[in-house]
Amino acid sequence: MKIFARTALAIVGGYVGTSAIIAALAMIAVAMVGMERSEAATLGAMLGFVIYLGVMIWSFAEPALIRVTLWLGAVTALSLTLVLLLSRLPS
Amino acid sequence: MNWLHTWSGVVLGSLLFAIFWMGTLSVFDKEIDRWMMPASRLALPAEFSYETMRPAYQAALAAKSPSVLLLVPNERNPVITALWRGTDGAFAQHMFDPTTGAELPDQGTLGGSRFIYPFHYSLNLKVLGLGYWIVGLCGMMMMVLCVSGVVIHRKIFADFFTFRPERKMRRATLDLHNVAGVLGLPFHVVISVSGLVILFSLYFPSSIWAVYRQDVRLFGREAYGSYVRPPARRPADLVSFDTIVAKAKSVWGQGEPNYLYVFHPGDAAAYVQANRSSEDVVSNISHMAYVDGATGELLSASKPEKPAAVTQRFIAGLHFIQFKHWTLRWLYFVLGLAGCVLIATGLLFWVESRRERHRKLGRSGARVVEAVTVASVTGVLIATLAFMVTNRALPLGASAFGVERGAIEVVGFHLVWLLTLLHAWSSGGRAWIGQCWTISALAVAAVLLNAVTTGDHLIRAIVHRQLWPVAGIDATLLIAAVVAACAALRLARSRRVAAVSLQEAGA
Repeated sequence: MKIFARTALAIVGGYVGTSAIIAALAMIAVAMVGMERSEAATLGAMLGFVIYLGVMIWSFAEPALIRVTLWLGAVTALSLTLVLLLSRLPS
Repeated sequence: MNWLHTWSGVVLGSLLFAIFWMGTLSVFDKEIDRWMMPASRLALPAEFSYETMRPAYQAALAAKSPSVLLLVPNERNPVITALWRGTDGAFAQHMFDPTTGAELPDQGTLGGSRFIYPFHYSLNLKVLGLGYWIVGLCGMMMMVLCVSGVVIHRKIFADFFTFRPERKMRRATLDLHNVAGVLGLPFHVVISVSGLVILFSLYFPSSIWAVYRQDVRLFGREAYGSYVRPPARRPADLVSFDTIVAKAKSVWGQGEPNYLYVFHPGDAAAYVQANRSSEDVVSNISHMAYVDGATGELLSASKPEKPAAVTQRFIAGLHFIQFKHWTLRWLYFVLGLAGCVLIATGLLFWVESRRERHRKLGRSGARVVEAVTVASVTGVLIATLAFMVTNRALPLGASAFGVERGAIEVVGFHLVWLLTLLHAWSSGGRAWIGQCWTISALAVAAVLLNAVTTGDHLIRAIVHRQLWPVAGIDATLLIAAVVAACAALRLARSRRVAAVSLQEAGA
């Protein structure tokens, strides 16, 4: 059961979290750094693989699963808030 | 890290092996096409006129297809390949002679580039694009396995120089796993990352959604410089293909196109997308020029790519191997095989170290994993060989139960694969020996059948330049037959030795 939770967190939670993080990063790159849209989107997606790998390994390696859950949840929530805020900016 | 490596390896190892095996074969997908499509074993003309593509274009026009993709012949694929939507609405592929432009008879097979290659990245599972996601997850897990594998092997350099084939089978298996893993580590990492990065927009679309919001389709236009325009609904003739290519080359400078994509054939607003071949660079560049079909004027050209796009195209190019470099192509093949060895020995080690214990405890774990491992290692090799043997054993145009040969080959592949699993389950550890002999026999049969049905036997194939792809496949099959036979003999001997020592211990 514990292994199932860990695997689910690594694969599903990691994917959702990574998607939120790269969405926020891409929007920040466009809004604040002035990167071109296509470049920010491409760079964000490529970073996604690295971030996802990191999250996966961490959730498998960390003894206290709750720590990963809380951190990942917090970063995902923060990223989604940023996405919402930035999408209100006039493009 | 140890349990992570063990368990993700044993759960995904079989799938990973199939993906690595098909990927390794895809390095030579065009050569497999030549082998399976005898009518396409042609020599490239010394001077290729793009107007030779006219009959292919006319055929698509007659079929009233809304577009036609014309692949320019090259060294590895010496025919004009045309793809258009037939009157039944389905896309079909046709081949044309590169010298005369005449249509070649349908070869009745999916061959390497339409069965083996798509199997590599989608398992040919089309439902909901599920295959892509399974392969993507396997790619990510391959990365996890690489990282955890390195963490386990702190003595990584000692492992690198440790190979004890004379020791017990289990020890040798682990050594081989370590050698293949450490030696090939850079390759395994790069090939997994680059495979994922090719499909970045499929796997991680959220960054595209975030910055493009409602107009996601603009991403294609901005990132790749793609161009579209509607048809004019007035007929007009297409200017000469040589004119179109000359106009496109005025954009690139050097370099030939690798394809011409005609939109709205026969219409006054027809336009042609020409893409520069990337055979002289690693990067999988998309330098596209759009030429007006009626006037031959330049409509649009893709701008030079920006840093992130350049990076993505380079990483993708590392995986696609569309550059012309035979030494590197063989190196990819050999390293791909090393990846197969890595995965197979990892699975084997799991089985070897649990077989005795599980049998004493009455658990079926090791037995199940061993059967699945046999079927996914030697089994997929046998299925692939059966796919090729079926192609040469059945004549062109053969059909059974209303199924054409191309489909019979695919059904045969899956049926044989299933049979290898049944065989592995019923004969336990001995299955390895039987399946190795089967590989050996099928490989020899494939070479013989090719010689009998096409006359292009190995010696003839070596002498004629345009038959070198066939010679390469035949020679590789013969080497595989010898290796499989040696493996079978060695396995049989070590089983006898084990049986004798077991008897002595009992007495």
